[in-house]
Amino acid sequence: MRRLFNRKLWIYLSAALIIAGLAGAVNVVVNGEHAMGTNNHVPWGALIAGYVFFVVSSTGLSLVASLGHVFKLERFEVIGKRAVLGSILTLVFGFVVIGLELGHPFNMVYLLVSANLTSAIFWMGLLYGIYLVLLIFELYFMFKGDHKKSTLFGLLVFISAIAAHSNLGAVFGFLVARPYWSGPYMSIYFILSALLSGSAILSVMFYIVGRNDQKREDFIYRNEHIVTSLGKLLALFLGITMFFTIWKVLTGLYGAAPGKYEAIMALLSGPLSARFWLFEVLLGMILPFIVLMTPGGFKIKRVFIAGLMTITGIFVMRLDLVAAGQIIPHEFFAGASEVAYNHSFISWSEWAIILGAIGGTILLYLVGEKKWNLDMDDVCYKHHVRNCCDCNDERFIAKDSIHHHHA
Amino acid sequence: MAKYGLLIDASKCTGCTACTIACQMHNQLPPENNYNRLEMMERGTYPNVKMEILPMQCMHCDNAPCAMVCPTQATYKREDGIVLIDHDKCIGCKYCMTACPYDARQLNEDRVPEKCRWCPEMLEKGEQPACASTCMNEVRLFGDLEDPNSELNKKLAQVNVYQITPEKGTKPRIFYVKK
Repeated sequence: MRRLFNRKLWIYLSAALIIAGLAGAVNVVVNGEHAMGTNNHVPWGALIAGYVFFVVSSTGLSLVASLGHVFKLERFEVIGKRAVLGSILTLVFGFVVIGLELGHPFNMVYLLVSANLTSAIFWMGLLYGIYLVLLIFELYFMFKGDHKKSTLFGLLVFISAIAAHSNLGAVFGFLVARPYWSGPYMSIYFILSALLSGSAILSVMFYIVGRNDQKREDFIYRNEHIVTSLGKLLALFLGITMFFTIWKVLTGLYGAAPGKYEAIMALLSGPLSARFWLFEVLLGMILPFIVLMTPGGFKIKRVFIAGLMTITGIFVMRLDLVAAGQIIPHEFFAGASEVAYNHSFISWSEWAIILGAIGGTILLYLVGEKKWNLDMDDVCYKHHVRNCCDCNDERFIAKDSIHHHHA
Repeated sequence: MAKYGLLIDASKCTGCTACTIACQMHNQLPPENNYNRLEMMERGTYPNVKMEILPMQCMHCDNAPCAMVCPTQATYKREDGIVLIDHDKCIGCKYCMTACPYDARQLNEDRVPEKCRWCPEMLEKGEQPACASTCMNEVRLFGDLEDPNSELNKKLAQVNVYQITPEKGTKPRIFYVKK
């Protein structure tokens, strides 16, 4: 088997993260909310942000993957199995994070017997559940090499991903009490930021996977490395994210709508400003955009660096999204002159759980890389067709199609 | 079936917090939990100053966002309008806490977001809950909005009222006397 990357280093790293995560998880299970940085005024904290980060990643991975095996852009077919496996793992670890956040996760059985159809969180459970099952079927048929069924399930995954993820935006968008979140923006923005997350994570993933063999033929399509192509997607989604952020900020400032204006100001010049400007804007958008858009920017190493910066920026973006919606106290008196912010923080246990979930994702991904062949099967890289008979290489010739095919 | 409501005359409130303590006693709450509270704001510059006081608790909204967002119907509204929580069904997602524009919810030691219950065990007997009966200035008056001869309706016919953040669409059941 091709030596992909330094496995040992990644195993040690992820094991360390998982141990930290277990410590944090035990602390949260034993001490409940006392182990978290939340309070009655800021009930949703870093674990909600962490959960959103993971499920955005999952959606993003499967949306970008669908470019190849659903929409048949041949260039992106190669990312299929790795992206879908990553999508399943990030979703599962998202569930782990939210499971630890919930006060009574086992009461979720009442989602079935006492469902409230007006609750976006009920729909979130249902839709992400369906999405997970479909993803598993898709991966299964990919492994079996059943392209018809894997394409069908790919399409269903695509639809359920859009439904589940825009509904996650609505979990926030439905809250009339929180002007920063309220409205249709969140649902739209969540889909967009999923595409950003997906292309950033895939850039990093494929750089690492292909690191020791930069000339591997299956990653190169019409003389372009897959990481270069992903970098171009990344640049596009970075541009759209900047556009979204600018208009979110400007509409929040204009007319000074109560609650919304103060939340935007908390990001621009209040307690969240360092995070917002340094991580979300500079590291998450401007720097990677510059790295990509200056000459030579789509060289795979630079795409990798831009991807890493973007992922870090996106993570902080999630923390800010959750914090900004709750940082402004509800206004009960008319004409109060100054804003006092609601205080919250991120406890060590919350950090540990998020890092542990990242470690768990990496470790299980490594297991997947070892156990399964995640490369494109039966596709001739030279001619870019399945079951190619022009090739002498047996790998690309399907047994049953050898006589009656040519694309 | 009664339809409970509450009238609060904040201008009579001295800020003694007896209502908060009476509630804690009646509901056996630990010191860090309280289901009603006094919001206070200073206005003016010395010597022309005043302290504005606003008694706050769950509004038992007719369009209760907490009940609407609860995934398992753990939060539910009774026919008489009282909004309660079924602890057994609560998954602890705290969605109700983010949905409430009045900060009425408080997480208890069991990680259930509890809140003021309007003490139905008292209202059903025609008595005033502890927060109202303990108050020396009769700031609170609970009653039946559907009974035209209830003390509450008689008082509502005499005063002008307003509600807290009605623009959130919650249709609260607490009315405040306009100053």
